[in-house]
Amino acid sequence: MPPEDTWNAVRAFMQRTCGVVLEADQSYLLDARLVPVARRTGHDSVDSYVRAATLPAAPQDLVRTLIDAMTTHETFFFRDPTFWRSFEADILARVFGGKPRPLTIWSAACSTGQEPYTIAMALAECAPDIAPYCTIHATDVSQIAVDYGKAGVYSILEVNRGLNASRMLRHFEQVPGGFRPKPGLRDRIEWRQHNLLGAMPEPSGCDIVMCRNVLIYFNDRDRKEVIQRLHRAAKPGSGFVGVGSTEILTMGTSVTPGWYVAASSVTRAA
Amino acid sequence: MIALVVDDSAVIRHIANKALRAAGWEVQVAADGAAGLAALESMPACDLLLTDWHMPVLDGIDLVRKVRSHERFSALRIVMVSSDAVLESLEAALAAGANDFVMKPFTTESLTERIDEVMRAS
Repeated sequence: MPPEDTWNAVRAFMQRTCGVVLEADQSYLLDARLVPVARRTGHDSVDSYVRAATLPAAPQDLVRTLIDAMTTHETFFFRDPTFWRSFEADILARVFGGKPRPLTIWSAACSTGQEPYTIAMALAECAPDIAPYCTIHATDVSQIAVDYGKAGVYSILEVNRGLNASRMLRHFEQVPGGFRPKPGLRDRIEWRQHNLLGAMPEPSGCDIVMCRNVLIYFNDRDRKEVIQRLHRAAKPGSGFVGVGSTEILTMGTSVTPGWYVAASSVTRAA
Repeated sequence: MIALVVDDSAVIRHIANKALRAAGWEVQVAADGAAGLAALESMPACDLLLTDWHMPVLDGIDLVRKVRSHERFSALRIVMVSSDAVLESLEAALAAGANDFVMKPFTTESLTERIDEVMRAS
């Protein structure tokens, strides 16, 4: 296939499987992202790899490599300090309403796990008595990213970003290959692959839902659907939905940049 | 804001100097702990000390301890930078009086973000 056809095949695949919009002028990603994956999966060209991975009956492990390669995994611990200061100083107090209790929190599009671990650390620091009883659902469309997060071994470069020495000493242990959150944090998190537009139901009854820096990758129609699902996952009228500090939702009630009280009711798609 | 970068590696001194200047800092440098201490004592003001650990003449841990023993430098923020990527080293650095410890290798983005956090905490 000519390169533009290969790229269009990738674009169609990503739109079809997970709603991610890739632009026509991003074809440089073919070389940047798919050459090493093609090599690793035993294909002698990107074209051969893309053909194999986008077949209707393509092996799931091959499909996962393409989804993983073409989704953006940019994430780090305590990304966007303003967001986390709001979480710790404002949102948690609103959720507790004066009576701290175990929480259910969903980190949607958790990538390689830094966000759910950040949630666990923030709870351990702000609400140490109830943190051990909280549940954090960590999901991402990429199974490979979810597996990485669940293994939880982070390199020096990864922990350098967002974790000061005090937090490293408090929350991490040294293991072969890097640093891993301590069991008290890992035990709080339930990991699974989840497509925000897929047929599998999202978590429900969540006190807090986070979905940051992902909505930009959807078209308008799919973005609206995802936002409805995020609100449906939260407790109606009392749960909170958190997006990036500069992202704006059209559902729910804004309380502070990036944070919304969940809608009281969400129409379920027929 | 004025920073002193102390490292026996010319490459690290250059990288840190460039990153800090890009972030608006005025920067002085020194190539070992003793020169760093002398520079600090002669500077009219200093807001941040960024120091390596393993250096000739006076190593970084001893530099931090000496700095912290002076009332004059009680408000000085100190960040250690080292390739000793073990949790025991982080603990030793904080115990000596450092405010943070950045493991090598680091990106300039991480370094400046961590410095911002240290300065914000002050």
